[in-house]
Amino acid sequence: MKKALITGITGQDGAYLAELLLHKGYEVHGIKRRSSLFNTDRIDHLYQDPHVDNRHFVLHYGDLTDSTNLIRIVQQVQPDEIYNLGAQSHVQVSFDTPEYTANADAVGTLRLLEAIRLLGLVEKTKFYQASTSELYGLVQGGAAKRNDAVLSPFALWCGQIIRLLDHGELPRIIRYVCLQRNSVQPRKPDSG
Amino acid sequence: MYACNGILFNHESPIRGETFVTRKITRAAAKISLGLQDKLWLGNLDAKRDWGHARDYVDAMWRMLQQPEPEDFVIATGITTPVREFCRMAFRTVGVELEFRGEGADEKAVVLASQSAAVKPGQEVIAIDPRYFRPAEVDLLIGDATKAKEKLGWVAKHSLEELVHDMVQSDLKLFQREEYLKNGGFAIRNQYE
Repeated sequence: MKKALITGITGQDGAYLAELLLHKGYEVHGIKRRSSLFNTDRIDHLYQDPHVDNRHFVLHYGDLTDSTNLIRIVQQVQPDEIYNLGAQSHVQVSFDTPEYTANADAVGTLRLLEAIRLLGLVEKTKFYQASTSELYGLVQGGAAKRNDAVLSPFALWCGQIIRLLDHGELPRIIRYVCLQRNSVQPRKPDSG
Repeated sequence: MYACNGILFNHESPIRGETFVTRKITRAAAKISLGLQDKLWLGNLDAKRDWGHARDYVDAMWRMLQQPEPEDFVIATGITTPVREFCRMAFRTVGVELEFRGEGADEKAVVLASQSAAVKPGQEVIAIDPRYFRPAEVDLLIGDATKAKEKLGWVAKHSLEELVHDMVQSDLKLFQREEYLKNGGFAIRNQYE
């Protein structure tokens, strides 16, 4: 039985993806953040009591800003596929909380990739990154209709931060992911 | 390492977060038609988006990880629609026909005809709040998912009409429950963000 680990399991896509993968016979593990209010509305219909044998749906407390937590979960689950859907995904809010957004969305992705590498799962675990069409916000007009990424996942809501950096020297984390993947080359943001 | 980016254009559903514009509109259409809300405040009505159904899009995610080699894919419907038109479709689903009058920050949506007892012709149900204008607005978002069609065999199955219908029907159910509670003497509260 294949195992999938989904970050952002409590979100819209996490819920639909969990349904789809359970239907395909996967064992689905999800990471959710601790909250003082219940935050599992979208997946309550999938929940299985911990006392049930052979659970196919398991939730773990975690956070994309916590490296050791992510490493432990990836180690425990040994997933065949990781779907990184967790993010501070609201564009307007990314302008209000840019540092948190960059930490959860950009560095969070790095943490998962590092977890795969450090745990020796590079050959086993496939990684899906929920990128965004908003990255085309850095492009003008017709260029938005393109097939290939112009920036790494880190272009996401970090566009505003990247613009503040020296364009000749993209941060290490961005180059890191670009080097992991030959198909995506870093592209300098337009000046101004 | 097998790693890939799914560059998914906007994908919505009945469980879309309440603060995203589509859900904000479908919730408001449902509430206004039930008399639980007076008006909907929005930002840029001219913004155009390529909206698909999230159910279709998670299938694309899975397909991306079943390929022999990792590659990035754009997932989109290829059809772009202004926020204004989404509003029109959502309100039509609850039996309210809208007419947009004015321009820019003064634009308003007025009810032309209504099958809802709570909504009267001439009523102003949508207005602009410039606070919702984005610091870096993307005026047009449209994606080309040709590569996903060719290599993944993926195409969007739900139309925008089906999506809007799904979302509004689901929000109607949600707020009919609130209406029921309200009529039964229980306090219901608006959620603000």
